[in-house]
Amino acid sequence: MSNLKITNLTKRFSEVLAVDNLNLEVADGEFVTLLGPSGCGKTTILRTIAGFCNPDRGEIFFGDKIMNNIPPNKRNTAMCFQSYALFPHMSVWDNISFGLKMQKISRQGQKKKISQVMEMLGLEGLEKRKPGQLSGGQQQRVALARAIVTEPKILLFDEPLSNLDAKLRVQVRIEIRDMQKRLGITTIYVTHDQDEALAISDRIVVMERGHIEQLGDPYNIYRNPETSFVAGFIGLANIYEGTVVARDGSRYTVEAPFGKVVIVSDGRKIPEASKTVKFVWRPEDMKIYIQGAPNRVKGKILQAVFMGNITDIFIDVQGNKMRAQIDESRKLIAGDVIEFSIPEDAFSILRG
Amino acid sequence: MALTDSTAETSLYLIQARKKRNFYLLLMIFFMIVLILWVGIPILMAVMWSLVDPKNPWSYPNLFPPSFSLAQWKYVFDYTNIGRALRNSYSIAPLAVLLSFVLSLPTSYVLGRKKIPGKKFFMLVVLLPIIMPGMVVALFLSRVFTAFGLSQTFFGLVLAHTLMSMPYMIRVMTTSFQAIPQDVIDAAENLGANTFVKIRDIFLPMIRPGLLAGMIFAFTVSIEEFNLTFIIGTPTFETIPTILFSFMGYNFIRTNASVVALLMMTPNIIMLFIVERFLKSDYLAASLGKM
Repeated sequence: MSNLKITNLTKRFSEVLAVDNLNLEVADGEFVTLLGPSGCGKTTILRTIAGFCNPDRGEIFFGDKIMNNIPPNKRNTAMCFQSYALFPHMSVWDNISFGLKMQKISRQGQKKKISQVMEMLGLEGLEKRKPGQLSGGQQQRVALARAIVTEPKILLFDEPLSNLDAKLRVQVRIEIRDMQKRLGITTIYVTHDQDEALAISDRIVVMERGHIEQLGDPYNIYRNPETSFVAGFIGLANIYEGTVVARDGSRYTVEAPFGKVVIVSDGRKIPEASKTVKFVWRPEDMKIYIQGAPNRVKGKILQAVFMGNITDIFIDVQGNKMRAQIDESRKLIAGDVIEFSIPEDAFSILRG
Repeated sequence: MALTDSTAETSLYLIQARKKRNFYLLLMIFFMIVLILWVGIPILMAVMWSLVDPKNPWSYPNLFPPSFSLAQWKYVFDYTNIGRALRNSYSIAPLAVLLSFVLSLPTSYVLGRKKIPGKKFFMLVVLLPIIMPGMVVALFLSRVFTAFGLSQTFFGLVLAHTLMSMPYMIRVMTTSFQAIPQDVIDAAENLGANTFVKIRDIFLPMIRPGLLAGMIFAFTVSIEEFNLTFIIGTPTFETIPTILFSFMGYNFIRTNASVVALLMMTPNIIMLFIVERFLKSDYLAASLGKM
């Protein structure tokens, strides 16, 4: 059973088409991330689910109930805002109890629930503080507590971690994931941070200019990108075009500008012979060539950046630039000639 | 080696910081002195003038009155309607503040939070009564008040004072409404708040500092309002300023004017200090910054 269903959602802001005929189904207890660059419509979708934004066309269903005409305060969603949006004049306790008061829950019941949530998020002892007296991480946790304490049908996150520093961001995202798993609340999470999306989601919706580019679990989104936008937006990518010159079962030989490569298709996209195809592989797929390895490419190092665990290398293969990230103990310097191989199954063939 | 370097750097930084602090301290002392001269001397003069003994006039080259007495105070209370004027002033002012709050609240809300065409224009129109010379406004408004049968009535005076204080009230409250982040309002609604709860639990507490500031302005304006009061109120109603002005003009009596001026000023100053205490909690700063 799907907990949230969006059908044919369209929203236009004067000249800009923010959401273009979008369909999405989210299962009960699922964690779905809307990922895309700013202006791709992800926040608009979130605000439409919460009820702050009226769609021009399309429906929002919670379960099998249509929600379009239900005002935000009756939807029983809980949103975590980028700015946290804590009530600055209320104590931490009053902030968290706000939603429960609205649900007319008894004082005793409120107390029990709030204590539970505060303990879960490590907020004990801060009950009487005002938001202005808390650190960024604590404010973020109070916002989270305020949202989950109401036991919402759907939990909505609008870039909740973007105001935290890098270390805290990783820590809080693990907490969010843990908590969501434990409570089993259906969650929609908006972010433009690909690492965050990969780490936290059951499924990722990659969006661009109001439509879905690709929908899938983090592994598939990263390993099998379908378009060059997805390949380029998530992770690093070497993208090339070539002509299919030979085919042997699921193995294709493609004539690329830097030489012939053999690709093993994953079976989803079958390129036709003598057609032009676009394909991608990740920098970390490139290995130092050893005897007998497939897809040998020889190039000159333009730049080698030592990053500790890996070395980030830009190479020039007969005038074609590509990027490799290898785990190599030898020190590499610009001007060295180096030979790589690319595993046949490292490639993904792109739609466009 | 590296350690000594960093210590040297730290101490250099500390010296610079101290120098900067000293500079700010000097600057502060300078402005304090200017402020005391500017505000304190006139008040001191008023106090001295109000205590001049009529038998022993204060004249050049005496720096201070030769002897003090309460004769001027006695005169003002014996020979003018200052008692009634005080009562009038301090019953009109709270009513005017209340009315101006009630009328300004929706206006400020719309100006501060809604997207409406011509907002800038409306903001300017709201300020017009302050920009125009007071006597000019009074002259023409008095005609309107007379037409509606409001002149020489208590309610008319309350209304007049409301009109004169509303620009300040609207201006300050509009800014307060503007300063509330939309996310905070959305969060309340998301958690189940209806319009009434949003107003009671979010808007009103968050505009409280601005509201109090607006009330101080409105109260002061009402206590000081002369032009319109003079034209539509006197002789039926006297307020402190109308009595004050009666000691000015052609028969200028500085000593009596000083007494009335002190009577008018003191409650305002006391009120300012009281409200100042309420303003301490800095909600808006907390909601906007320090994230």
